[in-house]
Amino acid sequence: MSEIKFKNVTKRYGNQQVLRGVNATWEAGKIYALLGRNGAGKSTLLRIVNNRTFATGGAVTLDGKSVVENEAAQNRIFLMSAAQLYPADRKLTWLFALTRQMYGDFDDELAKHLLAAFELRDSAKLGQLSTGYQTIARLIIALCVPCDFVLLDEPVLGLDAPARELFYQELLATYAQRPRTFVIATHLIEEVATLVENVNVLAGGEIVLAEDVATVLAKGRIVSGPAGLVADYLRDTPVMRKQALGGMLTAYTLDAPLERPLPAGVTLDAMDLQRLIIELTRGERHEK
Amino acid sequence: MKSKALFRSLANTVLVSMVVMVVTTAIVIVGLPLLLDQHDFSLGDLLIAIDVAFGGMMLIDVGVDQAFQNGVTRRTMRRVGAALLLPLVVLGAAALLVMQAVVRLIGANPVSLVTPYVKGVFGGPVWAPVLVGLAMALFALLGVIGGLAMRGRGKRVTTWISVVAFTVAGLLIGTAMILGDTTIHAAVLTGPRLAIGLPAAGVAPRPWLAAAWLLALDALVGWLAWRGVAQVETGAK
Repeated sequence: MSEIKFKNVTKRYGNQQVLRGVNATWEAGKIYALLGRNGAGKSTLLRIVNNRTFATGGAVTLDGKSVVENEAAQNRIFLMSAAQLYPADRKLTWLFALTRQMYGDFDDELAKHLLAAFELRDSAKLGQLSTGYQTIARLIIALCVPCDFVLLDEPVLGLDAPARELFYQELLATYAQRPRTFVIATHLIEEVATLVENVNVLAGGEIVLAEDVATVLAKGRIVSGPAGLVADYLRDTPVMRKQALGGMLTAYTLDAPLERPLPAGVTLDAMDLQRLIIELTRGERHEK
Repeated sequence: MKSKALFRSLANTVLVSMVVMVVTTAIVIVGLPLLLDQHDFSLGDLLIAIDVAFGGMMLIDVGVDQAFQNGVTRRTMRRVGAALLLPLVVLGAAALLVMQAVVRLIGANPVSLVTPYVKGVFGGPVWAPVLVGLAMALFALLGVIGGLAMRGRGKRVTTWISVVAFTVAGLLIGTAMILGDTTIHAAVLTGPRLAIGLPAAGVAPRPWLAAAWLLALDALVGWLAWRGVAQVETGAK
C-alpha cells in the first residue's frame, strides 16, 4: 500500500527550529487532519513533502523513495495552499489546461460540476477573483488532479460558511468516487472533525498525536468535581491541564482510569476534538 | 511530461513577450537617430542586453512559482530554463547583428562593442556573433540571478527596479545619440573595452581575449545561476 513516511524530519529557519523530528505515516486512501497551533510547522511540513522547501534533516519518502527532487513522486503529490503561485492574469481554463499538461490528466467533468456548484465561470481570470473565489479555483484544481496524495493547507481560507460546507460535501463525494489520501491542515477543527478519519497533531515541532479520530475521541475525558476527589480519582494519571475554581477542579486527560469507580460528585465527560487539540497544544506537556 | 508542459507554458509567455520587446527596442534604436538626423548610431547594446536580462528575470518570476505549484523538480526547472535561455540569447544577438547590418546598409556608422569585429554589411567573421552571443548569455544569466535575488520581494520592487534600469539605459543611449556616440563611447568605455580585449582607437582587435573574458564570466555567472535554481524555495519564512 502506498504511503508517505516521515523519518525524523527537522526544519530550521535561521535560529528558529520549526520541526524537531517529525515521525509519521500517511497511508493511501485516508483523510487526515493535520492540526496544530499557528507557527507549529504544518505548512512547512506540507511544503517539504511537495519539495517547495528542503528539510534540514531526516527523510520524507513515498513508497520508500525520497520525495526530494523525485519527479515521479511529485507527480503523485499535489499541494494546494494559500500561496498564489499561479499567474494571476490567466483564465481558469488556462490553469486547468496547464494542470492537465503537468500531471497528464485532469477531471474535466468534476471541474465543470464544481464550477457550476460554486457559481464560478471558467473564463474568469484568477487575479480578478475575490479571495474566496481564488481559494475555490485552487480547490477545484486540487480536487480534479489525478494525484494519489492531495495536501490541502488551510483549504477554506476566505470561504464563507455555505461555501465551506459545499466544499466539505464535494470533497467527500469525490473521495467516495475515487479514494485517495487527503491531508487537511486547518484551524477549523470542528468543521473537519466529521470529515477526517485520522488526526495528526503537531506541537513543539513533533507529531504528538497520530491516531484515528474515533480512538482519540474515545480517550479524551474531562473530569470535574471536588478537587480532592478528582485528584484522588486521577492519581498516577497523566493530565493535560487542571483548572481549579474554588474547591472544584476540572482536569483534561487522555488516560482516564475508566476501570476505577467514579466517586460520587465527580463527573466524567467526553472531550470534543477541538477541546482535545486545544488542551494538547496549549503549551503544557503531559504532567504526572 | 512536466518539462514539456513547463517549456510550452514559459515559451508562450516569456519568449513571445521577449520577441515583442527586443524587436520594439531594435526599431526604436535604429529609428530614433534617423529622426534626429544622427548618423553615428549607438546600436544600444545595453538596451538589448537589458531586454535579454529582463527575459532571464521573467523566466524566474513566471516560471519558478508555476513549477513549484505543479510539482516540477529543480532539476527540470534548470533544464527547461537552459532550453529557454538559448533562444533568448540567440534573439538578442540576432537583433544586434541585424541592427548592425541595417545601419551599414543605410550608410551610417554603427557604434557598438562588436563593431570592430563586423566586416561588411552582413558581419563576415565569426567573432561578431560569438562575442554578441557570449555577451547576451552573460546578461541573460545575470537576469536569472536578479530574478532569484528578487524572489519574494514583491511585484512593486521588481517593477521599480525594471523601470530604473530601463530609464538609466535609455538616458545613456539617448544622450549618446544626441551628443555624438563616439565621444561617449570613447569617454566611458575605453577602459572596459581595453580590459576585455576590445580595441581602443588605433589598436588591433583581440577577439580571442574578449571571448575568453566573456566565456569566463559566463561560466561564473552560469554556475551561480545553476546553483541558485538548485537551492530555490518558495514560501520560505
